[in-house]
Amino acid sequence: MITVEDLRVKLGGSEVLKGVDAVFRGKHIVLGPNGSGKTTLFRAIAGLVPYKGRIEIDGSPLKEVKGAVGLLATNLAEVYNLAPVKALELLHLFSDLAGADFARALALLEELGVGEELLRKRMLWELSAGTRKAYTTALALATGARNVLLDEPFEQLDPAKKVKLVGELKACNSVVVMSTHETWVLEALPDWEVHLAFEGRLYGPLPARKLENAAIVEGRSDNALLVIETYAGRFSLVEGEGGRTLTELLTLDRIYELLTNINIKRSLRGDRR
Amino acid sequence: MTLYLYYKLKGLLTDRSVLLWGIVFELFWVLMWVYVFTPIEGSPPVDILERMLRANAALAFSYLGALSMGSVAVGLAVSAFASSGAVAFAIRFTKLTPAKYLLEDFLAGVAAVVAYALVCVVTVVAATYARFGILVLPQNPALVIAYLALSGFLLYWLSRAVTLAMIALGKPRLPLLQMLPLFAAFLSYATLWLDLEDEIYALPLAPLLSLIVSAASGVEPATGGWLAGGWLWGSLARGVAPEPPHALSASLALASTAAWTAALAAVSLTLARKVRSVALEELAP
Repeated sequence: MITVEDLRVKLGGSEVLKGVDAVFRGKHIVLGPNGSGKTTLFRAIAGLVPYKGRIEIDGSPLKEVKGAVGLLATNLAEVYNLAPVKALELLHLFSDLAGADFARALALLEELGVGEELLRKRMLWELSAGTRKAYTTALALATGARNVLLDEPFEQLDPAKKVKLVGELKACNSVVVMSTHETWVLEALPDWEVHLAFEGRLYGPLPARKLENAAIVEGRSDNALLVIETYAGRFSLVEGEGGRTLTELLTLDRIYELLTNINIKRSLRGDRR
Repeated sequence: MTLYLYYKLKGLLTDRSVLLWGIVFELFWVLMWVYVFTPIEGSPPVDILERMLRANAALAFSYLGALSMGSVAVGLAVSAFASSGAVAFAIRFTKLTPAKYLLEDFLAGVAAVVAYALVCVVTVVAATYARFGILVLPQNPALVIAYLALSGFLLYWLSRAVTLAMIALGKPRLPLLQMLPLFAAFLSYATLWLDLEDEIYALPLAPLLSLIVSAASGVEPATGGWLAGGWLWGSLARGVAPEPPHALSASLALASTAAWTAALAAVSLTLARKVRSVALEELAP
């Protein structure tokens, strides 16, 4: 279980996380547009950025965690850049250090279309972005850690491999927190809890199946599942009303287009609010 | 011990840019030194020739070796910089605890520096043998290795301090700062011609190089200016023990090295507590 309380992270002078509260127990999706702070949230939980607030993993404050094999795994690439060796050797290294199952990692990589020969020849940073993501995701899952953070694991995977990865995620027994901006996952993983991430804040959680057909309505709605504030305006997610649904958007990045369009139309009409 | 020690060392010994600057570049200058710059005139008696060649080889592998070690230290800085995020994660969530990391990273770094320096020793000895048919092995190999190890300690902590300073300054891509260990090596290299007298003790690597020359050749250590004024070659050619214009104090040289190493280690350990890790994206050109 991962608990974050009033989590604040400043990078380059600007506040990227603005007081995030969440308890991750079971399977979670952090769904948000690019730049909403999803990766920063994971980097903070993995101990990679300075933060204010409280982070606990399985009841242990992050600042006190040392040498805790099997407590947390992640697919953040920077975590695997430990020694300047080939990707296959890194796999060996992490099998030793984090107790990752080397054979399982290789099998997973094979399923995701990454062959052993390629890993024998290339360094981690010489792999393409998609292959690197598949590599780190396979390693994170192969550790069998009790808590797993997966940052955009579907990024640049082809549809068939996405389906395979969904199967792996469903079968995983760990606490899994996965970030993405792609809304099709709501349909694929209906039992997972969803936190919406916008501009450094988390909203929710709500079950994915509730959000799957939730419509986006401008402003605050009385029967809203969630009301979200953004720089481009406020919107509500409501069940059973007209309007674009989250899954229709395909990616949450398009929320801003939608809100901006609404604002442009209003300004053209001469509305003031 | 974990596999980290093995893979870190392997990474440093197979890194293409370190191999280029630490071996290929150095090999070119070793050949130039032995075949072009070695000042042997006429046909001196064998015992004199042997002493001249031993001193010549000692100067070559100390000072050219310093450039090689400096290149490895730059490689250490680059890899430490790139792995800062991985280390922050590994010490929390793998069996690589902070103490194990510090020990294994230090051992791998020092071993790499010494290994590249030993390659320089071997190439100088081999090139000298190839040209003159005389094997000029170091007179006191154990002491040479001990001094090389001390150079490794110093350069390791210099590379760590440089890396952490770069991260603390918030300038992940500041290549000139990253090259600082090589600048230190070039500065020491200049003391082949330049006698710094007592000021040599203020330099981080130069006093050790003089001690290496002395341990390998039996010549009294100098504060620099080995190739200036002809005191070295003149004495060797006459068959008398060379007396440097300014002799180096071994105890002061070791004290200077210890002080530099301790100061750089202290800076590194202090900065390590303060700096954040660097993401892979920030390293992209």
